[in-house]
Amino acid sequence: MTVNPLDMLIAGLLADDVLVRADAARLLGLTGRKEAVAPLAAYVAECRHCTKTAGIEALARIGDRSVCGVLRRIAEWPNVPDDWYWFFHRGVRAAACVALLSLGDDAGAGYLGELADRKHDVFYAWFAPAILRLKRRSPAVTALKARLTVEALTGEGAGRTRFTNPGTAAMVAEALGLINSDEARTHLRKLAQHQSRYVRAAAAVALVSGGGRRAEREFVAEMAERDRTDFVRIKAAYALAQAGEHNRAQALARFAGSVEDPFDLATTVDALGQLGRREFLPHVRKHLNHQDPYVRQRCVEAMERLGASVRDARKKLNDPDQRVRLSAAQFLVLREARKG
Amino acid sequence: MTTQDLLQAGVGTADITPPRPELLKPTGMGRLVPTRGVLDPLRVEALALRAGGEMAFITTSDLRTLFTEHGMHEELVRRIARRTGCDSRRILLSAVHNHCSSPEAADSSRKAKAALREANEKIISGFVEACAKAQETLRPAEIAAATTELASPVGVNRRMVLSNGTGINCWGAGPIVPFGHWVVGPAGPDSRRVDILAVREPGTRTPFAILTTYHSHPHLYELPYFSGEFPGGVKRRMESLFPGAVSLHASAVGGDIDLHTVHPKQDYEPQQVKWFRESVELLSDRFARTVAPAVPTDGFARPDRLVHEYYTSKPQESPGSSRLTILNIVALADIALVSMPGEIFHTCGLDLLSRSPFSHTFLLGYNGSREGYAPYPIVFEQGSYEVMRGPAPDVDPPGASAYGVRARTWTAQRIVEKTLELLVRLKQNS
Repeated sequence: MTVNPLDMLIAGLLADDVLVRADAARLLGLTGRKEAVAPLAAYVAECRHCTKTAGIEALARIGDRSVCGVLRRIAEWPNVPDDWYWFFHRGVRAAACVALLSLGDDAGAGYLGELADRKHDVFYAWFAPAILRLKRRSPAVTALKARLTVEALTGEGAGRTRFTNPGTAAMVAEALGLINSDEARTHLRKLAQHQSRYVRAAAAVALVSGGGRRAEREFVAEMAERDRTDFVRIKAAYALAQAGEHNRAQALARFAGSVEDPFDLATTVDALGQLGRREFLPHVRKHLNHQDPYVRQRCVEAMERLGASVRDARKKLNDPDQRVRLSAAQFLVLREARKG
Repeated sequence: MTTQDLLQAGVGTADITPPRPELLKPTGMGRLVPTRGVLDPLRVEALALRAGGEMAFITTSDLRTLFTEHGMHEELVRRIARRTGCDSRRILLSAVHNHCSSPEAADSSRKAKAALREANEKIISGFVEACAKAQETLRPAEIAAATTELASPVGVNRRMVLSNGTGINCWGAGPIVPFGHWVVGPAGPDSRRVDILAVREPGTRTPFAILTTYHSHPHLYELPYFSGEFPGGVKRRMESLFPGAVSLHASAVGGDIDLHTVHPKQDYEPQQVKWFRESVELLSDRFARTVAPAVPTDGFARPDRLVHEYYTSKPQESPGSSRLTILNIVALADIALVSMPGEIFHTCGLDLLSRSPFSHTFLLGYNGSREGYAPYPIVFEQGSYEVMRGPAPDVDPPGASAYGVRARTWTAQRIVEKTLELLVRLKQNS
């Protein structure tokens, strides 16, 4: 019996593993299929784990305003444990508010404003890039974006751990890249010296996002050549390739043949997929049976972008890892849509 | 060698439940509401070991910590040594990092402060009493050790890696997944390994003491109650399966191992208490179901020699420093028992165990020294709650607080290497 790949993705929303459920939601969002809206709405209402923000993001991406009622309820009562000390409640509520804003509903602006008043990292770090990426120009969205200034992100009001914790520092780097002012770039150069390779990498990508100026490209080129970690060199090369330096893409392809760390390899494969140049398909395909399931998953998703045949994806429907199988199903759904 | 040299062992327990819980609160995960009372009593256990004329005590307890910076560790060792005559360096202390135990005053009132003094005195005298009982019950004994792997999850790795490489805490401790990113997976292995030491009288079939060590950092939830939590549940369950035996349980090194994802927490206190109790029972049951059948029934031996090694970083620390590290190891034949700091990350503990020259090594964490998380270096680059303030500088700046507990990038590795150095030396001497 042939399994419908879209049904397979929807069934993934009911998996026992919260990470599988979140991945199914993410992949459904990327398909843009309206059939996913009702199951995603049920998932975000019922699931009690913070990873359901993947479902909230997916609903925003699909763009069906019929879910605004569900999202408004989550913005009020997120149905996750109220861990006052941490982010569970705030993170899920903020996700629902941002999704509402992207769907044209300003109901979430009030709560995001409260977080901003409290100088909270949920607003000024974790969801700052998502807010800056909102395309709408309603007064509510404009007002929220106006609060995300370089000074507010990086100045004295910033929480004590915003830059010592690499998680928040990397998100601020992403936000500064979206602001892309001289002042933002100055701060990004500082973050490019951070002790964490992941913050340095985020800063490299942010510095040349949207093409970057010559000075920034030279700065990032230096990182691509000289950083002490493969991860930063990979991300810097990717950022430069995205900015139009095609020879950097070749460097990425070389990384795909040389890096040993599975996460670095998965990142390289992902980057090659993002570049979307079919010539890189062999560099990706050779890792399709890598022992690390995350590498295999990134390969499947990259191969879809690189125009691989559906035969490769069908084989991966039998992968031992459920998340890889879901990515293969998504590959088939996307290909079907393109064919249609 | 005479029969007097052959192993003798005894075991004792004492109640250390705070006498006036309503004036106190458990430390760690600050409670938002006044403490209501005690869900189940707190206990300390002691195993006395004597071989070749040398004696040692192995202690386990339901506590979160032994508060080195408040002098509790030193006071405990001093008073146990005075009461039992044991060399203080052979008194191995441990706690389990249970966040429903070690008390602090609920407020700044005189009554609350007095209740805290009373509770701490009960803890200290409880340790002394348990050791004294263990010494009084010394009898000919034989020991055997085993290692097993849990069949169902109990302690899970609490950190997740996001697609941009940074780390977040999962389960109950600081999770957030921002738009544009996804979760790659757990940042490290779950905790499955359990080491088991059985102690019995020669010629008998059933042990009178069973020590289990398991890598974890238990805090199911910050309820306003005192409880033995999961470690207390394990001991109750093991003792019901081995009638007449005392169960000793230690949390080994598991700074990144929590007990959070078993089933969803509830939103209101009565349901939370019910959930808490059910969680304790469920997890203890999972633990005991695997461990009980693995308790050794053969391969027992009566060592005739007990050797020990002791390390303190005191000479290198400023007075009263929370960075004071104490390593305390006792070995009997091919079995080593290590008392050490406990918030070192699980991977480091597994590394230590895999490189130990002894066939069986028991890590008893949270000995009250070196409070604070100590991860492996890449964690500082990933970030998350445990390292959100970044690594401590290699050398403290002038005027730095003695209470700073931030780890340096090399802290965990140095503790592991120092422990291995002591283990190797012990192995050579034994």
